[in-house]
Amino acid sequence: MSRLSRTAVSSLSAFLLAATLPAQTYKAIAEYKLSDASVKAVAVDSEGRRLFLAAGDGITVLNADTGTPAGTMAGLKGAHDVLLIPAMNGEEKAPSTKGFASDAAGHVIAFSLADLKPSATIQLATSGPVSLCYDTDAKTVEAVSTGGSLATIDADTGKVLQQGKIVTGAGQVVCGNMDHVYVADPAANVVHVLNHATMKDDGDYPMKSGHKPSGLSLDTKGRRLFVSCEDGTIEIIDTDAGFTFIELKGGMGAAHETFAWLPQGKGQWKAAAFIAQEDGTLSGIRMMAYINYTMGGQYKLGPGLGSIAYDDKTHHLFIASMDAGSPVVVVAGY
Amino acid sequence: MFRCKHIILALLMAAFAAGMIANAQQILTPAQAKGKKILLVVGEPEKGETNDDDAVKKHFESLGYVVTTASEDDPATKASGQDLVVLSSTADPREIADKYMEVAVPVFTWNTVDYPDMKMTGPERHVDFETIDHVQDFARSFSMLYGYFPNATDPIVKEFGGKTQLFGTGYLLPQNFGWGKPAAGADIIVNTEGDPTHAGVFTYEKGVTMYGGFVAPARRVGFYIQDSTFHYLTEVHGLAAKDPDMADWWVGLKLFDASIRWALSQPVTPAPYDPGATKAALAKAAKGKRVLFVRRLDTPEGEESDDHIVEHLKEVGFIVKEEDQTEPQSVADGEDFIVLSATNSKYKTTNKYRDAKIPILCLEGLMADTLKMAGRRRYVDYGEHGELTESEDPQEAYLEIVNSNHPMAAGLKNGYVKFIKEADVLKWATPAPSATIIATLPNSTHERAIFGYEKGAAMADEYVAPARRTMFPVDNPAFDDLTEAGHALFDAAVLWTISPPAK
Repeated sequence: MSRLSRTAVSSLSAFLLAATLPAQTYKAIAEYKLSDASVKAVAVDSEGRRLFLAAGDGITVLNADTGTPAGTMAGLKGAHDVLLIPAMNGEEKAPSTKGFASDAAGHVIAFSLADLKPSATIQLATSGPVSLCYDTDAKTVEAVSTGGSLATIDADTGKVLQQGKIVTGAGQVVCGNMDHVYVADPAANVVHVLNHATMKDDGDYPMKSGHKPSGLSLDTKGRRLFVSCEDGTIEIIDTDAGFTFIELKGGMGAAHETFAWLPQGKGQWKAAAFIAQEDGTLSGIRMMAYINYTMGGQYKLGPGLGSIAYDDKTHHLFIASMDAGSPVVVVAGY
Repeated sequence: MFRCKHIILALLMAAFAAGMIANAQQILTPAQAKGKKILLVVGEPEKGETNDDDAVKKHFESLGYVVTTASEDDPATKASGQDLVVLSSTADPREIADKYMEVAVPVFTWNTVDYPDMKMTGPERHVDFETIDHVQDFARSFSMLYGYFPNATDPIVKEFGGKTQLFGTGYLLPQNFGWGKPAAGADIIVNTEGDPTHAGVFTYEKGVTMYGGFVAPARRVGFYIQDSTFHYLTEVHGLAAKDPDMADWWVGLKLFDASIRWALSQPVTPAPYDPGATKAALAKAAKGKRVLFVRRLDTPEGEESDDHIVEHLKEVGFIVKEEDQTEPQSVADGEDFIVLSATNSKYKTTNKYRDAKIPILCLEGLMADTLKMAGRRRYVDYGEHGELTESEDPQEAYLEIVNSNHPMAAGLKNGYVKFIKEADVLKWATPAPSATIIATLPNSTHERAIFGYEKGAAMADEYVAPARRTMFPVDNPAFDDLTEAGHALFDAAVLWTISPPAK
């Protein structure tokens, strides 16, 4: 906790963007400074108002509204990813109670959000950084190692249901659609489509014109995969056909994405994929219809943008970044 | 001398057989096509508009083609030394006009409005060709998303394993498209909007008759995309690519690529006109084959003509069984081939033989509908030319050959050919677009006299041909009136009909 400090939101003009759409001009509205460890992944518990960061060798917890330190969890060797299992109280969303974290050494830890204590530790079949995604239909956590393995973990018990070696990639992973785990592979210039039910590779989606896909987000209802490439190309893929039907121009460099419904509340955008890229570009791909997406806006924040999470309580975005060489979490809103 | 004659005959038969083989229309493999030179003719980009010309160029280059770009203002001489000219719809059709019409290099075009100047269709917009705008014609732009392959045995469709069925032309978005109504000599590869005459993709073989009697100087292809729709051509990846139904649906880009390679491939070379060689080739193919000749026995007219047809069939080696029109279809059991005489009454022959799994040569044009070879509207889909009380047209002795490259043309050149010695009644039909048209009646291009369906082609009512089907107008008693060319056409039609179908 000592390595974090809160910084007042005073001089954020460096993060401001030229407005392109008056109603939805995203800008940095706050910045939470961290002491020394850069953030590899961000997850937000909207109902519980906590922010979980994979940083250093553990998980750092902040108050989502203030950036105030709210806890830590150790036990990782180069924390790489963190995700929270969504919870419901009847029809209403409830604070999450369980989380999963991973590291660069092939470990996955299941932990309780109540006491930040690990409840299970899993060693994947291969070493290397592990990325996580949650399949809401199967209620499983899918752990993908860049070393070339996939593990399917019961989100409730933390037990491995099955795992095996399989081709993967170093980019983002997403899942929740027809047992598929999509893995961006910048080196092979494809998105691998892994099937966690069969533990087989169902085939690849080649890039139409982009190079080095690294950022992914998924609309599980529309079955749309948003793929950001490091060369500035954003491809929107119909996952039923594996067909890129829209290409847009994004920022440059490694990308991270998140997808959100009604990201500005009712009456505004129906849905959006937000993409944060290494060159400081935040892109908002606006859904007009399931077959029509436009670039809703592009906003220049500071360089070094990384992992991004959407807070559906405040409609804010939390983005790992750097400010003058120091790690920060940028809070972006409109 | 005897030995010399045999050698010559063997050579002629070999030449004829070579013609048949050439008709198989081999398409270059992707590897063979690499290095081919393409001239891509494009227009000036509209201000504020995007188009796919650059994407097309990159796609060609990714396949190993050497692409040179030309502007709409460049002279047609730029095509010299190229293997293929590609006309984008971005080129102003009034600027390129008929510039590439006579170029002896294959042309692949999606410049729909230029189709008439290329002699690929007639001149009337909305009648002979049309461009569908996704804003003005919103609903229709969705219907154009569904194409139909009427003939899975077409070499282009066969190249990527397409089936006689619908497929997705472009991605599920309202888009601009183009279609044309090509002349009789064309092959329709894709039709759209549920209208068999709206060809989304169509081809002309080198040497066939295009619109207005113009003879194709090289292969020609019309394709449905427009300025900015190339990137929507469907393709499939991932799990869907392993599902045969889904893989067969999203084939727009495969169709494009196969069509390009067809255009780049060697055209069919017709065998020379030689009635003796044709007859000899038929004799070789017919030897020992069993043919059912269905006729009206004891007919007051045409009996002698039927007898002579039977004699001819026997002469070339067929084992002929003659049956009356009223006999059940089971008389065809064990036969290899059926010939339906024009002495038959359509009314009495009923729907028999249409589902026969052996080839049929029909000499009676009025049976086109019962055999599913044309629609059911008498005098619209089929009719009689020169019948005193049923046609306002005069009797006719000539046919117009429109597809000299096809084996059924017997090596005859495109244009008029005297078919029967004296003008008489000639039957005709307007078959489905999957048919291959060999000859039409003069001055009535929709009245198709000689045509054939490949096994597996969709005929009228989408009825899939169980075996080859050929229409050949020999009204009673015209067989005896056939000219030398008419006899050659008859033999060539029989030979094609009994030859192994395309696989």
